[in-house]
Amino acid sequence: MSAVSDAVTQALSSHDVVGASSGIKDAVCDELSRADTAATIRRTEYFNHSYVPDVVMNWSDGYHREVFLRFSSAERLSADVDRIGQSGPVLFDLTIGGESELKSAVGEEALGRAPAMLVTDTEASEQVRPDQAENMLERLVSSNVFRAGHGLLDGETVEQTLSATRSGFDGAVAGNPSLVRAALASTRPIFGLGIERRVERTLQLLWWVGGADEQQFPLSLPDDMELDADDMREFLRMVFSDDQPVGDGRFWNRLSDRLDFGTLVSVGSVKESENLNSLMAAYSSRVQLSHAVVDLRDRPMPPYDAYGWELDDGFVVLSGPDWDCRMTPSGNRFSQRRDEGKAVPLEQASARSLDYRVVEAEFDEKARQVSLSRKAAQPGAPSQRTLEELAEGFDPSSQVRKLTVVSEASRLTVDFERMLVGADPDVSLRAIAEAASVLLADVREGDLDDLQWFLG
Amino acid sequence: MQSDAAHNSSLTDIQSSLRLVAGEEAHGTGEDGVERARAWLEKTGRVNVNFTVYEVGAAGFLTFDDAKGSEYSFDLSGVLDLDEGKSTFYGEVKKYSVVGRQPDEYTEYLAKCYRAVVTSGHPHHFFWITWHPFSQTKWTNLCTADEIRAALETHQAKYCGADEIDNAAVTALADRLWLVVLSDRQEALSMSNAMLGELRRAATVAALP
Repeated sequence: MSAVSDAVTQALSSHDVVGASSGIKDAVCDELSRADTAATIRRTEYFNHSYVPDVVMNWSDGYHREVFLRFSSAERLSADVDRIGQSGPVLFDLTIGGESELKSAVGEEALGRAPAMLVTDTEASEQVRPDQAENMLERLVSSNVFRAGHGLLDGETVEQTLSATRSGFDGAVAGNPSLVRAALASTRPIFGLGIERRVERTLQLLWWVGGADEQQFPLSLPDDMELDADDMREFLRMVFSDDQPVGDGRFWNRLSDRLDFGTLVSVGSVKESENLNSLMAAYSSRVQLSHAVVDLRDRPMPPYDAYGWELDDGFVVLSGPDWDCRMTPSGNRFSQRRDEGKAVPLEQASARSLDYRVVEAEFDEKARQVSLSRKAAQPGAPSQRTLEELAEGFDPSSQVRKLTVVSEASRLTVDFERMLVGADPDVSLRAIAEAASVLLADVREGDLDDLQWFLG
Repeated sequence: MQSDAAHNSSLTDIQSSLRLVAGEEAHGTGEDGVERARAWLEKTGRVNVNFTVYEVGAAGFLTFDDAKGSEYSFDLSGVLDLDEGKSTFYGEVKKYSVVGRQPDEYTEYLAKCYRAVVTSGHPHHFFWITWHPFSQTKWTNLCTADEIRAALETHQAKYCGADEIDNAAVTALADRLWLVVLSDRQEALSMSNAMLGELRRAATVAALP
């Protein structure tokens, strides 16, 4: 017997109508929270009412769905179809111990009059546990049952559907078309086209990153065959939210082959995870970027957790021990950025830029600007000097506002006042991360070696 | 300790037997009548019918013991929201097209209401909802204390036993008796499903935090 069934049984044994109603609703709200962890559960002051729901489920995008509690009276369920069915609510049957009359009470004809309505019960809900899903496909399906499910959904149907989706995941990765078809067939009756399409696209991407022939995928929606950025974005969200790491490097290589930077950062905020680090290990060498900025941490990270990748607000973020380095293809992202501190002293800037040859430097308010000739600024030209050499005769405490240096790959402009590194032309994500962390942050001894090792 | 299966089976038996008992008591009403009464009551906006006798597991809320230890039931129960506050209520529904046995049934119903009040200690309200009038010669007296006393005298052994009639309880009960006559045409003169949808939105999306 499930927790919700136990609680309902206990409440029904009381003779206090109001107390029993409250107890039952408490149990149902707890159950709905377990069945859809993304939903906010709000209870009304009504119980088992004809046209006012007992509970309203809300999601962060503003979508909501009404839940009506019922005790499986055939006459009533039939009336409900006409009375409230058009708004697409959930009818949640609380009958216990095999007494449910769901199948006999709500026939196909009645459900056809309210196609958006979901009729389900406690035997079904107790199997809907997105946070216990074995894989991302099961989580996708189970987390959408109460949000997007429709029709008659009893315990047996839920069990069969979730079993098929678990197998469908494995089948897609292994290139098994029959398991993929079974997963699609099991979810089709429960969801509308939106979720059905997401299930199919997820299977399609799993099929592809699993290494099977893309053309052999058993499409069921032939009118819409193209995978687009939304498909990839939803897929990445599922991958990153999955607690189970994917250890197969080929998976990540195939996925990164199909990935572009804009799609990656549009996924939304993603905290460091093993799966994100695995993707970035495969993807970082393929990305060319122009801008990075470093923010010093208030508290240094412990050395055993020194580096990791995150996604945040349109940036790829490399988390270092003392800093976060945010990278983006567009300097416009930093147009309003101003560092709170002052520009660094010449002495400090010289020490940091030892590995770079200086093209141009702009010093403090006395506008003592030093420029080398454009001809001499070509990468590798012998006349280039270090900042230390260039600054001979200057006061070491002079503030360096801006510094333009050349590396082997690119010309880098380091704006200390704005804490920004810009590269021209774009350089690899690894190169700009290294430049930003070295030139803009106080890198501890040994960190640079660790960073270079982490970035490959 | 019972296994889940045994527990479920036992619970199902209890639910079924309670439903049977209640169903026998409700003879003559029918599920259709109870559901239509519920719908009409809730469309007034003053009533929330929490349980009816036809809902599995709900019979326990509708059942009382008479003075001889036997059970009797009402057809529905819930919360009545009046200007002076909320109260629980019980209801008996007679979806009759003729007078039938209503005069006698109503008399016993009054005794049942009294018994429910004095044994529970709660000032419940009670609704008699019928589709056909009865006892027209004393219609205006059907909800009076005198009528309740007369009912108790008729059914004293079953609903009072050896106890004396509590006149204060009788007087208070008379103020909480509701006699409602519905008709099929009257049901049509109520808010449409679309209008109820607007009320639902007001009670949920707009009202909830």
